[in-house]
Amino acid sequence: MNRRDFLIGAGVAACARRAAAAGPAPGVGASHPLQRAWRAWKAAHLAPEGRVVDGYQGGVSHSEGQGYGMTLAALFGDAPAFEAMRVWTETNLAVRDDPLLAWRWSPDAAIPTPDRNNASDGDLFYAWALLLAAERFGVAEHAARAATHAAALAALCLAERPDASGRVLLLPGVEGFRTSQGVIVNPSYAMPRALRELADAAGIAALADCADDAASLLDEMTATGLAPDWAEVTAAGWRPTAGRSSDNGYEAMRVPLFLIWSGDAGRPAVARQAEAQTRAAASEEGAAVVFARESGMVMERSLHPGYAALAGLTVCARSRAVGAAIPPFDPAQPYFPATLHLMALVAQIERAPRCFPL
Amino acid sequence: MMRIRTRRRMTPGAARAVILAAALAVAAQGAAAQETATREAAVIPLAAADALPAAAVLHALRRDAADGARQGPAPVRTAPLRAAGAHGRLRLSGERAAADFTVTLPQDLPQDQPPRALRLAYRVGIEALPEQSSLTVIVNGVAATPLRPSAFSDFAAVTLPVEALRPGANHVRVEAVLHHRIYCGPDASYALWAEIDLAASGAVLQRRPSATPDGFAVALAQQTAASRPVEVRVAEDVDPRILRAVTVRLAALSADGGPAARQASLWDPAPSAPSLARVAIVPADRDAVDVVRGGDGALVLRVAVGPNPDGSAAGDGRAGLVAAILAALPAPPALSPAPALAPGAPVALSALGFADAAERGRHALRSLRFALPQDWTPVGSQSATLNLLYGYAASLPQGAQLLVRMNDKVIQTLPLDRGAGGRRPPLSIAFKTRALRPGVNTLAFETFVPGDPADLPCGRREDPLLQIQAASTLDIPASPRFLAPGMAAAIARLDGADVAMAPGADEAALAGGGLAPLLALPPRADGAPIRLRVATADQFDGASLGASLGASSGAALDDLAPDRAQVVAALAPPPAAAAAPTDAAKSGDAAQAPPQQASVFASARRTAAGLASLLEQAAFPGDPPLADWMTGRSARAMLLQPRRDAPDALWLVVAPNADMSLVARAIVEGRRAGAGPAGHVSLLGDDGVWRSWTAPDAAPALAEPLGWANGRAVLGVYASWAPAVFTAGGVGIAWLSAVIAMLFVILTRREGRT
Repeated sequence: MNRRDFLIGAGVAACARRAAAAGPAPGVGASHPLQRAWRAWKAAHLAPEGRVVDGYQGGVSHSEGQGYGMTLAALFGDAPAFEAMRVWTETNLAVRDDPLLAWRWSPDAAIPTPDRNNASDGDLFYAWALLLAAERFGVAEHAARAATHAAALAALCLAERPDASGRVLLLPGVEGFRTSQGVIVNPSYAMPRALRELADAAGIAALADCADDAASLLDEMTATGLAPDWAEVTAAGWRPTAGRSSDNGYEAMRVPLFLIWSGDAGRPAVARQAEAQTRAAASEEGAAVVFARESGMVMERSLHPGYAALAGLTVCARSRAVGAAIPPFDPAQPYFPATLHLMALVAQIERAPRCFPL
Repeated sequence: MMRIRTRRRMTPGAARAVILAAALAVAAQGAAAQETATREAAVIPLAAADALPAAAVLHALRRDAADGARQGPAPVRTAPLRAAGAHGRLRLSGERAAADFTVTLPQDLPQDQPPRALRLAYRVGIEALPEQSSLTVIVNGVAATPLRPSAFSDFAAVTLPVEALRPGANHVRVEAVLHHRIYCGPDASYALWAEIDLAASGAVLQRRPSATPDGFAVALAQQTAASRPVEVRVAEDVDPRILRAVTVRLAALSADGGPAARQASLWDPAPSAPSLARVAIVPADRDAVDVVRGGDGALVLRVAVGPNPDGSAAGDGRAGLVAAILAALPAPPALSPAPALAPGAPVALSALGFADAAERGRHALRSLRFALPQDWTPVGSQSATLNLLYGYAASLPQGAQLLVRMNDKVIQTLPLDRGAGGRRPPLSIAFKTRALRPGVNTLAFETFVPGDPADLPCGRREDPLLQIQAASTLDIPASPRFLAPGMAAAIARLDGADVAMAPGADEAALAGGGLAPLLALPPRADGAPIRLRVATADQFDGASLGASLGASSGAALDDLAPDRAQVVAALAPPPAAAAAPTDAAKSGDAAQAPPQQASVFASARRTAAGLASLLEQAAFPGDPPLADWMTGRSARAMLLQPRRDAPDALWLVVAPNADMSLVARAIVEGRRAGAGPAGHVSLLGDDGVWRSWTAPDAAPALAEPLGWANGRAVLGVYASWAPAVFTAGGVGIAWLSAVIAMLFVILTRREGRT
């Protein structure tokens, strides 16, 4: 047995111990009413071959969608859907020379994956989904895959902060996110719970470090405003990065969701977002989806209920109220808000039981 | 503050594994000139800060484009028009028609922006001539400028400036005057109509209803006006007392015919049509009721249910929360029962809510509902009298007439084409009291005035064609107090507390809203309780029916209640296709088997039974035997009053595929209109009509002492019920009297001789 096998085996063993020692299984019970929403999501966004379709983006698929879909399938206990997505993902996105996934697949292109760079959030959720599935479905192979993938993520997508503090950052992708002065990050990519559970299961402490360090970076960012969509971290700190959004928009809106889902509802990023959403107030034009980071001014609203679900969960998580302004799930909305909507409902069940969707 | 931390170190083996993986990955890329195998990977030099590889740029654009704001048309905010018995679309028929509505505005309207407009979504039939037709909206007695209709296919919405709207309840009347393009007369009048879309009509609000009880009432009205059920979203374990309180009140709010509430889970997907108002019942640390705005913009009545204070499901600890719920929900509309008419003296129609009528259309129908006491009964050949004060225009064309109906039976046909017209002398119209019934009755006046000529548009005239004065009187004779056999009296007294599921039946229908229209019936003022047990046909069996009614008392059920096979057959879905004639024989179904060769004794028995049946029918004319009456009938529900000695014990058996709430509404509406369930067995057809069977030998029960004052009338009632028996009895008494008289004559004659 070589060391790699040993490590992987150790990771598998860790996953098995974790499964054995775990308390109540995460996710949604087979008879829970939310299963109806899951079925509606599948009907709207999951092709029969296991491909999660992003209609708004020209019908493409990406590692994020596959990772999100597989995670939800594991949490809903839907083994057939999970397996279909896993097989499609490994057949069509696992085209790199390392275990990481190509980030995007186009159905109409001559070469479906012309850009083989990965997207770390997709890989993270993919690995986490495998871990969840190993526990939910009792398939040891999924644990092995999760460990392998987590190891690759740790090896290829972690970078030290330029300030030599020893803290680590999650690169959005293997390539293209290092600058001459620092590292470009997307604060929403480092899903704390996924990182920690993979770190624990696979024995990769660096992933847990990344979770902690990402949280502390968020604390720095939200000291002066809302979490940004993108930022450049340099030796001097962090700053907006040219060429991409530094507002609190479609990327950063996932930050409070993932923090709440990770049991970190007390972090300043959640408080800031809740304050901004409360100030934005309910409007007939829909939920606020893009804020100016520092001023909190509403720059864009959307009527897709999935975004209102994020806002409702966030506000409720910081209040003492019973019930949240989380709208009923609507499968007719596009893939992104629909998926966030379902995640918010799962997060409510798992982590914010008081925040019943009203 | 710079954070100094000790970097966690991997085990040597793990570090080598990571390094190896990184090395392999980087080597496979085959890109840059210098590559290291350490975690401090080489920084890729960039010519400029924003000259990133395409991958990174694409990453960044993953979410930006076109995912965002989905804007539809600006929502219309209206406080809708509400009318008793109307939701969705309301139709006005004929040349002249009107409808009355209520519009309720929140009390918290902004002082500087009171509503000053009313939106009317309408359309009219293509037969209407726009130049001579109009729709007029009158708000609190102030008329807006009449609207010339121009929408003939799709609904069109117009916004009318009105000044008389105020917070709270407002009275709105819509008057339609329609002229046929081509023809004149009753047929032309039938073809004229206007429709109002109640969901899209109402007082225009400057902003959507606020999250207050007032605002919730407006949103609730919007929801029901759009014919959408109100969702009651609950967690998995909800106190049935709370759920019932909510669903019953919602049913009472839509008791005017609107859709019932619909129970759903808090986590159910959104309904197909967006919600404007709903109720959410959630567990909490303490009881609370308030109105909040849901994530989809709907107003939500949030009912937070704390721990059960008395620890038992049957306790009264929820009374406070129920009271808070009922206080937060709008008050149910005041029911308008039919005005009561006391028999024995003339009563002016004005006392029954009838106003002076002035008909200007070539066809007009005006109705008046009134209620006789439940223990009133028609006596023999007694007559009631309508003393009609009326008049009509001069020179009406030949064929003009007024039909006077009592409960759809024509009691008088009055020609309107005679003489010089004008006010007519009071006309006394006598009609048999058999045309009346205990409970609700309907008096109707229907006018027919042919066109002159009929093949041209009607000429303009503003004077009425017919007038009926409200001072006209209705004189219905008093009768001894009798209770008619059957369930009509019990149905008339039914209240919400009387309804329960049959033993073993699913309680969900009771708590979940299916029976809410029945549960919403107001409390009875007095009288013994009624017991109405509800079951579906697959749950119904004669044993449980007997057990629930105390079969041990020995009371016979067979003659008043069909057996299970008949019940199941009547409530079964219709067959998909008729079976081939030979199929019945093949299936061995005895009921359809070809008749067997009869024995002599069997034939004699059948003859005797037939004779007995004939005699019984002659003695007690009325409905045929129950088994015969049930044969071939199908229904969506069946009401039973199976015990003669327990008239307040009723059963409702519903077909397995029937909508429980529709059945419940049919009972309520039938009771209101006086054409509801009656007799001992009543079937609700697919056409919504109740068809009833009464045991022919069930006599009316005298409900007062028999004496000299009422004896003759009592005899008259029984004579009407069983004329052959009465006649036979009378003949028998006469024969006996004759025999006695002859004997007396013979005996006294003999004594005279001696």
